[in-house]
Amino acid sequence: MDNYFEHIQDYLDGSLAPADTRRFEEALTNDADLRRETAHQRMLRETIAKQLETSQGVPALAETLQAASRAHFAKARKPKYPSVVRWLIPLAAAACLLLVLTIPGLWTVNFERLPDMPVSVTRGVGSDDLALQAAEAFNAKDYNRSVQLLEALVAHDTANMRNRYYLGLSYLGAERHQQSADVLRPVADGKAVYADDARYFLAVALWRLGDAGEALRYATQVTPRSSYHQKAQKLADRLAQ
Amino acid sequence: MHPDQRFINYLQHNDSRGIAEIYRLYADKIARMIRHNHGDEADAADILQEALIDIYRLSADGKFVLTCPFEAFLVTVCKRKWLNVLKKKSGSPVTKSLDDGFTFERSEETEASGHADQLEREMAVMQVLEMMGDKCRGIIKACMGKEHQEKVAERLGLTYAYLRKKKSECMAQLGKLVKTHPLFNGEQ
Repeated sequence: MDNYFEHIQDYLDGSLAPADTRRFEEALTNDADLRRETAHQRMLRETIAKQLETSQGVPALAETLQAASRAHFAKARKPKYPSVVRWLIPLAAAACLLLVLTIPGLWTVNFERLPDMPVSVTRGVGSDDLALQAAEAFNAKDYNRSVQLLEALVAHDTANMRNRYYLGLSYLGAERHQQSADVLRPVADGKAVYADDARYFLAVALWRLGDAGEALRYATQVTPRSSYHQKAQKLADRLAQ
Repeated sequence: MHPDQRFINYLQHNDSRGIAEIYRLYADKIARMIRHNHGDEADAADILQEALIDIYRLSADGKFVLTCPFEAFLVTVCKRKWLNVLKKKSGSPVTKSLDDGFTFERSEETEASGHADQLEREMAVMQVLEMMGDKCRGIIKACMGKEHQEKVAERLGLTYAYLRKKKSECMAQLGKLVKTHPLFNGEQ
């Protein structure tokens, strides 16, 4: 059959003329390969159409699930560390900080230093390999590659804040500051666990874009819960000068 | 249709009370399974949430019919997801069976596996689509909505003839790529 795939698509679109439809259906009856290919194409079209349509409902569902998850698991959650360890952690942190502050030459802050993207927490059957590749590229500082992969992951699962966060960081690593700010802003303004850290990196991106006012606003919103709280304060001090 | 279809409906309708019931009935069981297999409660919370979103994606068009207990389906999806995580973690071999704590009828397990296979295949199609070039991916996504193809061509600034030709080329390419995916190997 000439234009094999065009005929299949036209048939599935319902755009063949009645006579051509009859001919195509006769061919389907007699040609097992055509039958298989048409069924395969129909499955692809139905899957994509469904997945695209349903992805619109995912963010709202994700919010409900997060609320249910927090409510359920909070009841069962117990302190993870014994009490002695819990008070030793801040003590050790304070000792380390004192040590660091007394070593000359360690005052320069690299505001744009990016964290590693954890490989071990990547999951999801469909996107697992892609997420792993993205993490590997990110940790190898191949930010152009991690941008490419994370863009695909974000398009696939728009509700996944983790992927959005690391996409924003990848843009920052690739010095694409405007795109970094565009991606990080909704994460920073949201309630995901990445929001606090996203505020810091958004402040850095905005600072690099020359928007000191907005950068300062986000830097001062980073709470002490974030591991970037101190760096955010230093950035804020610098921006306020 | 299994009476547990109501749990699918809760997800479809983003019913917060129904979803709370899902957590009340199943979250601790999933958490126990994951804790017994090198995970913790946070892992369980993530896995359960991802599994429920995937089940929503599978069923949100209203055509999906559950033919086994929801628990069997949910456990199968969570189990597969967690196995994938463990495979990616170096030095964390699975030392216990992930079946810990669950006993389902053979027929229920078969039905649940069938549903989970369908879910994984749909996710694989979307994964392959996202790996395609920008142009093909854009054309395919634009053409899969309910909008008339001539309107789509106009919106994309293309002639209808070009869109029609390009769409068939891109769909053919997608079809070939999907057939090489491990989950579709049998269809080649």
